[in-house]
Amino acid sequence: MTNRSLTSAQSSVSSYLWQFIKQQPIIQARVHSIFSNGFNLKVRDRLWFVGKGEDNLSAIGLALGAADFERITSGLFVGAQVKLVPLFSRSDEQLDLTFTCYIRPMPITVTVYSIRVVDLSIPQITLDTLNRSTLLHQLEKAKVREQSGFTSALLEKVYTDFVDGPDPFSVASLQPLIGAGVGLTPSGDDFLQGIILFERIAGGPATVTDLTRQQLQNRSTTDVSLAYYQALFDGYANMQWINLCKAIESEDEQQIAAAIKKNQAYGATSGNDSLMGVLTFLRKARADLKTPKEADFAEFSLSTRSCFAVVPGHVKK
Amino acid sequence: MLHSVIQKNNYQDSINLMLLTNSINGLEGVTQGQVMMATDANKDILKAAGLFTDEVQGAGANDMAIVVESDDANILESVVEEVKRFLSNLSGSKKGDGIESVDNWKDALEAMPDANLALLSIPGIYAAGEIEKALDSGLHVFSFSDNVSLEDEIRLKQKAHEKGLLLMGPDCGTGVLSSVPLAFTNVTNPGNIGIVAASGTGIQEATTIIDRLGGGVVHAIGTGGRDLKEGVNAQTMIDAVVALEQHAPTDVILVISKPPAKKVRDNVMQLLQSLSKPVVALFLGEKPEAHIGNVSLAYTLEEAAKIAVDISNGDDVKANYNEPIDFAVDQPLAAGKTVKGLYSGGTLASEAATLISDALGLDNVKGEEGYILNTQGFQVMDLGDDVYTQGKPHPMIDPEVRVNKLKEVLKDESTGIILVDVVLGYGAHADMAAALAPSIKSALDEAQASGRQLYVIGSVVGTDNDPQNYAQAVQTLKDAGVIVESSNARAIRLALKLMGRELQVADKGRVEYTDAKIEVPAPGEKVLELLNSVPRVINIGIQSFTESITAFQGKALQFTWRPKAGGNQKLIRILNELEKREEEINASNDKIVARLIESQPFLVDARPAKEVIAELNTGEKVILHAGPPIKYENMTGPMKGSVIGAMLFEGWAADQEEALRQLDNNEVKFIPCHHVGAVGPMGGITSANFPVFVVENKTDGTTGYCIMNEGIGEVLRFGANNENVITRLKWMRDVLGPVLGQALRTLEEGLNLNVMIARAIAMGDEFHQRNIAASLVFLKEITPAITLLDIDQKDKADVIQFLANTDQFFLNIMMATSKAMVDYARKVQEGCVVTTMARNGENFGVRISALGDEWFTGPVNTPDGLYFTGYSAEQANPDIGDSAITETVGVGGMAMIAAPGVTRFVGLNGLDDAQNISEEMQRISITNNPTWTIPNWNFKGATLGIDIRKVVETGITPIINTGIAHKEAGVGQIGAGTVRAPLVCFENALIAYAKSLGINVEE
Repeated sequence: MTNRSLTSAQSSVSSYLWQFIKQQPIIQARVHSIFSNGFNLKVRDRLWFVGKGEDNLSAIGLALGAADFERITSGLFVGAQVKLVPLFSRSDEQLDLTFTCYIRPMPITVTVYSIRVVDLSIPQITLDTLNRSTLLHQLEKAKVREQSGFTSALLEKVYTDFVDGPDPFSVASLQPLIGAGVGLTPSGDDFLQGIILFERIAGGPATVTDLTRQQLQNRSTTDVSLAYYQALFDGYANMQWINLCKAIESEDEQQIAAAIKKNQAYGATSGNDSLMGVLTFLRKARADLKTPKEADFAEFSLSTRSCFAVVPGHVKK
Repeated sequence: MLHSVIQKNNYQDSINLMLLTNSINGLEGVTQGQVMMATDANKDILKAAGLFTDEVQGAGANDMAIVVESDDANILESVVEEVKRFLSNLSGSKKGDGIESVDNWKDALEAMPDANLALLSIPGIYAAGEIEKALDSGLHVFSFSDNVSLEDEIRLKQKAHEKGLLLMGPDCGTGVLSSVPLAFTNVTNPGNIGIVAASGTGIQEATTIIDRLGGGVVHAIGTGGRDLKEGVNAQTMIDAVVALEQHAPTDVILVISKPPAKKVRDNVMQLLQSLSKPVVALFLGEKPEAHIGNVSLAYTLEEAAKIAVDISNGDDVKANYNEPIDFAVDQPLAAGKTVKGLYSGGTLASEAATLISDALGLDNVKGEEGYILNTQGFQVMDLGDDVYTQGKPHPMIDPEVRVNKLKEVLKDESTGIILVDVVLGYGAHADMAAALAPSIKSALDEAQASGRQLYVIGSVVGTDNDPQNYAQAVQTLKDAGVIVESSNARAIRLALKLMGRELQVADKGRVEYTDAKIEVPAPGEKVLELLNSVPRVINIGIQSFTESITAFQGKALQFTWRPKAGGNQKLIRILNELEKREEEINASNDKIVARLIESQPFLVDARPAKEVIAELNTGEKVILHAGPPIKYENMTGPMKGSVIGAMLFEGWAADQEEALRQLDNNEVKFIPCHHVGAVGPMGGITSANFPVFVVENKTDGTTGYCIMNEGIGEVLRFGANNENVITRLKWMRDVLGPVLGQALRTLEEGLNLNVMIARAIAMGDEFHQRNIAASLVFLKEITPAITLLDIDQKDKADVIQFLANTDQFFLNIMMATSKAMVDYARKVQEGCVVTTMARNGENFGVRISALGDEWFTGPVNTPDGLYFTGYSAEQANPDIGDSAITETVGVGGMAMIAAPGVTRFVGLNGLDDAQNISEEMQRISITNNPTWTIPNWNFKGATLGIDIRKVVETGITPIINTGIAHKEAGVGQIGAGTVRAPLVCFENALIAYAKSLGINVEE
């Protein structure tokens, strides 16, 4: 018999992906890429990320319990065909999902029951709240840059040009970031996505968002990055970012620290690359707050300026 | 000049033989050569090829015949050396591949109890029987073998269906089960398309295109080319389709059929329309104008594959898949030019014939055999057809046929386009593109030099995951000047475009299916199990078929198959009939072996022969001899020498001349020892005053007699009859016999021989060639009794010294023991257990339990072994003596493992060889004797009960350890070795036994 593992481990699906799943009785996919904590499925022109554990719930994906995840990925290879058949019989908030993985020596079928729909839409947080939080302070302490992909000479220049060059935050300085760096989510993309996420959260001008959306018409990057850009443009982010948002809203310093740490652990440098974007956004926001007439980023260049916190009482020199 | 050599019992599969033939044909000095198993059909082929010799005539189906034509008188030396090298390389690779190997069904089923599939690739003449066995064993069958009669196919498919099993084939060249490639198959990605196809390269072309389009195949079930013929009624296709309907991972079913019988096609179509899953169907030869209902109908294999991929991805079926041909044609070929298709794949050839005929408005005329299309200069050939490949490798594994055909079609000036296919995958040539490239390039260069317009267009059936690289094959062909298209259909379309006649395929819409639908039958549970599991395959035949299975995580067991009964159809039929009575026969045989086991042989006495054998006490000149009955004039030298010696010993003649005169006057009567309860070694010559051992089987008092051992060298039993021999015989008559008789009679029960044999076998005796331990045990037991006798001290001393000097002394006691055992068993006249094996130098004789005193004889073989200094095989007498009675009860050669040193007599060396011999003997034996356990064999008992069915079925004959006599009278023993019992005795016994059971044994 085809292996049929019926499990009921805690599994979840992003509300973003849920919209697509609901539309199709059968979904045919190919494995696009495989990592230790998840794999990407190519579903027509979209990528879906299937992660291990809810912490790895992506805006574009599902998160499965560890046992289900291991069973499904056992024998999986890039290019393998995967069929997903959803069953929506329980409620609008849950579904059962049958994975048929076409692998050797025989296909395996795993049905994952009671997958919860998790709202991963990006929340709105006021700048005041952001400023009140210790986020900037903690990010500056977190050695984000040292652990990011921007430690390489080439990327450092791209980054410096973007935040501190002769034409910062311009098309010219942003363009080189798209697709810059190694891996399936290049550091430049992660960085921009960090900024885009917080532009969305803050609800203010979407300068980088718009520039990026525009430049993606001209610049190529990986399928995976494109998928995450699209999710952000559509207003959705990964679970870890949503958790960070909740921590910010809670104004609990320890929760924020924990959320940052989890984000930092994401991918090889992806989490830190994105947090670099967040840091850049916050510094600019603070600069805009302090010197609204000189809304440029020059003074926040990490390479030339010292850091200081936004929140009174936490100022450090 | 023809040269031939026969290698007996060297069975090789057809691929090995074909490759070996190629290898031999490459030897310097060989005009042409052929290596084949000497089956009747192959003999006909050799006759037709002018390669038939007397040696081939005398060979059997299990013998490998090597025939070469050469002017070199010594060519066979290099040929035989090449055969040895080639087979040695093969056996080396076999040893290294880690696949467990068996050579019979019983072992196969024991070794892989969870097997679910038998993959057969054996000569067609034997295939039906083996398919049936596989089905009866509950296995699905994948029959690569062809040449099964249509009647058998119908019967076997019906049987498979009734048992809920799937019979893929016969003539199923390719297949995929759970994405594991089987036989000649490409490596394609797993996926949600399930294929059922009545064509081999049709599956390969479709699956590889699907793979290259990013799709995947979970199962590709071949049905064999005749499945959609009337009578067969698409039995396999229907059983497979209904199973795929229930197979959850399959989302799309692709059906490919060779031109079907209309009624069968309509039935299949009705089923396909009734399925819940979408179906793509290609009925080769049909040009559908619309898709119908649930079934999307394709015109080409490429279109079928593309539709299947679209559906498998959840996409809509397009109206037209005929994408434009990119190759720009500025100027079509001149009128009168023709296309020649040189295909290795039959279905690809059919597709070419269909498309070319349709586009050019040609009648699809086949013409003579071997052509799929042959009209108006347009020719499409399936070079894999028997007409091209008899005795030659298939063009997928050898380029020769195609290279030759290429030269041939080029001679036709009208040839403007040559179509070729290159099929990659398991089973195919390692680099066919490179093998064809030089000939193609040369043809194109010549054409260019002469201003002739010539195109070679090809396609490669393969994937990047095939053992041969797809991209590399394509590039090799391109480098040779071939225009390579991505499918056969596109290659044909390009050919037509070059002819100025582009193939037009109209858009297809979908129309409703208006006929009634049916309730889809429930699939067989075992078929569903097959589809939902990893294939666990008993591979019967071509060993290389295990490679793809194990490489892709299937399980495989190699069944190194040989034709039953040497391929003798009459005997196969008889064996099959006996198999139907197996239970009854086995029960009878069990009674016989039970008697052998329960025997209680005791050495109770030694007497002059005339006192215990009435036939020697009539006052006439009566002499007993070894083996089945024989006339004096037919006796060989040693036996004649022994006879004369006995006459001198008895005083019937004063010298040889007188003895010969009496013999010429028929004054001496001859009786086989076996007819009077006796046995005799070598010549077996026994007369009235020879002292004989008396062994009593105390189970019921049956007795066995045997003369005493004289030692080695110049002895009567080997034909020596000089004064020394006669003097010794007289001493044995006057001293040795009486002393031993007296001593034995002092022992209350005699000597318990089972105990002595059990001790000695543990000490390294096998009781035919080696008896030193038993002789010493006997000496140990008898000496106290001798010493207590009130006789002359010198006689005591002489006797004890003689016993101490005579290592083989116990042999004759063992023979009498064996005789007492078998004659007890022979009182039950049932079953087919061998109860006597004996040789008289002319014939080997066998008797079996059911048929009492009837002898089944055949010419004896000559032993092979080591010779005393100054002697050689040329002087050896043919096999002789009753001593094979020891092998009859499971010792001697049968128990070689007990005395591994004996293997050295025949050029073997050591424990492994001895074990191999005993394991081989085990295969023709019914059981083991728990009384005589062999330490070297993990204390397994000696084999017991030779079953003639097993001998005939396997072709394994008992091996007999023996002394070798000089062929001339008077010389004596010149060596020792082993000899095989001739198979014909057992075959004749089998026929007679079957007849006795009322089985019609005539052809």
